[in-house]
Amino acid sequence: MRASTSRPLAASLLALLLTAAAPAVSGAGDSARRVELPADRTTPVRLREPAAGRLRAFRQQSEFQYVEPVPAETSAWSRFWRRFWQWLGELLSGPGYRTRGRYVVYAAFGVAFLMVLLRVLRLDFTNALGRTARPLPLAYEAAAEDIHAIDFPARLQEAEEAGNYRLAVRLGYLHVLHTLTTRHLIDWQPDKTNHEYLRELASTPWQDAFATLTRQFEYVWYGELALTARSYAQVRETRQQFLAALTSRAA
Amino acid sequence: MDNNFPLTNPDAPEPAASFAPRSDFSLLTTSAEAIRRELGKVIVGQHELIELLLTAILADGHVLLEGVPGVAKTLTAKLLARTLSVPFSRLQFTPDLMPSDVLGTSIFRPNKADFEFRPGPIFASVVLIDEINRAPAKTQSALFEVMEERHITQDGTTYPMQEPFLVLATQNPIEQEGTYRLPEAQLDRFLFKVQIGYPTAEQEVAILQGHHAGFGGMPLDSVQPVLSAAQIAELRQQVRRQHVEPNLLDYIARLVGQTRTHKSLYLGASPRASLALLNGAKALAALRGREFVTPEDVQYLAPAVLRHRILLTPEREMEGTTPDEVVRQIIQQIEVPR
Repeated sequence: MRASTSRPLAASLLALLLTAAAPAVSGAGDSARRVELPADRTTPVRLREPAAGRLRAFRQQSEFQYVEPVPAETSAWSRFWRRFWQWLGELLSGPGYRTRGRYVVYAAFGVAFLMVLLRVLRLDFTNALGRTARPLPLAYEAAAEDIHAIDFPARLQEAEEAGNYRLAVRLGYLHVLHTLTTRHLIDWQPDKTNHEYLRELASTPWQDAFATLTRQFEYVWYGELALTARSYAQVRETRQQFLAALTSRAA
Repeated sequence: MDNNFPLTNPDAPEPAASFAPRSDFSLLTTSAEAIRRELGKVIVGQHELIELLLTAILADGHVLLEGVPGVAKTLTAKLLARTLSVPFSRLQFTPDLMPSDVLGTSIFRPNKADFEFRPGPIFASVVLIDEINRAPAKTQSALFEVMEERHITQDGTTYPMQEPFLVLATQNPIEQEGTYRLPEAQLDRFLFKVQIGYPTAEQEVAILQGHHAGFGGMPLDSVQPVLSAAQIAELRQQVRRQHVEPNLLDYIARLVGQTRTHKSLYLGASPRASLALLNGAKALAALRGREFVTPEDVQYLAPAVLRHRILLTPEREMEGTTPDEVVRQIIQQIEVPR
């Protein structure tokens, strides 16, 4: 049913297309017979100009003032910026671009690319410029006790004379850490634990003795083990032996 | 240097200092060793995981185990439950799970014309919640009360849990298909979040050898109970008596406090995190045979305690920063009390 009605419709559409295309097809063959029409010389050309007085009046109006007035420069800073932007404009778009400007553009792109690369790779080339590496921004909350600034003999003597053996054990242990640091056997950092230093001393002859000192310190300082004068003497003896061996070996 | 120290009669009959534990840790150390041995029958490696699980048992805290499928999260939890001679139940969390499926429900008894409460699977001593992040927040919130307060309230009646009460939950990383992000309030109730990684090549060979030799068939049967509920209670009492030097309390507070002001963090850790760090450190010190906590214990546990309690800022998250990296940075920023 649908096929039978659509067939005559398609045929009539085809016929219509062929009929419409016929003049174009036939006209393509006789393009040499072009008809030349005569120029129209009957209508006179009359130029119209506005009156000179009216033109002057228009020119006086602010709407027709196309040149923007240059604002008065109030300060040296604004003069500097005007000259800078003028210089930059000439550099990038004027005749100076071919000689100097394009190299400035290339350099800017190069620096930007390098910055992105360093950022992505998280590299720090501060050392390459002959300076020490930028320290990590560690904001130590506690007032870090600088073990390099403590006068250990004096402080130890004070604590021992006062019978404050707990403090004396602490100061003695800090003294040991300080000595190990100055002899480059450990890398002192305030956030490191005693066992990290112990691991740093692995495969050295100091590990076992330092382990004993660490155990004594931890029991007395963190475990708040009460010491008598006799037991402190034992701790002190161990520490002094360690320090003496350390000094003699290093010498 | 300090040679002028005046000794007060060194020959006097004073006892020499004994740098050894004054408490008896024999039950604790032998039990821990036995549990390690039992778990080691099936689990290859994973020593840190086992140590943290033992710490959690002693510290009375829940543990969230996170790892990709197939790294023995569920198996480890089931084996640990088996080493404890206490009631055990398992819940498989699914997207259509309802709170009443977890807690229990009241059913009407026509003969007595009243309601009777039927306890849900949460009523056990060790509850394994498998794939916890496959249930939506509605079901998760059913766990809030029971995980923190150790009881549930149903129809105005409070039902206490029995002691010990330990939730061991497993989850896939949240990027996995069909998972939800757990509510912060619930995450805060886990003492530790332990991340389980892939075994090393040697460990994987050992797993294959064990399986090939036939140990992979019924691994649960080979594991024997080690601790009873009464023994766990006794050990927990001992852990509570552990000594903590005041400077260490300050150290814990500063570590946790730093998470609240750190520029990379959108949400810092709560005071519950400080308590978790303290309790965990006490348990770990006991497990290591010490009766006092050291900064080493605190630093060791800080990532497991804090990583699930902090939220990174969107910028840091997009940069690929991990919570563990921020925790490590915070540890570096705070001086060890010494």
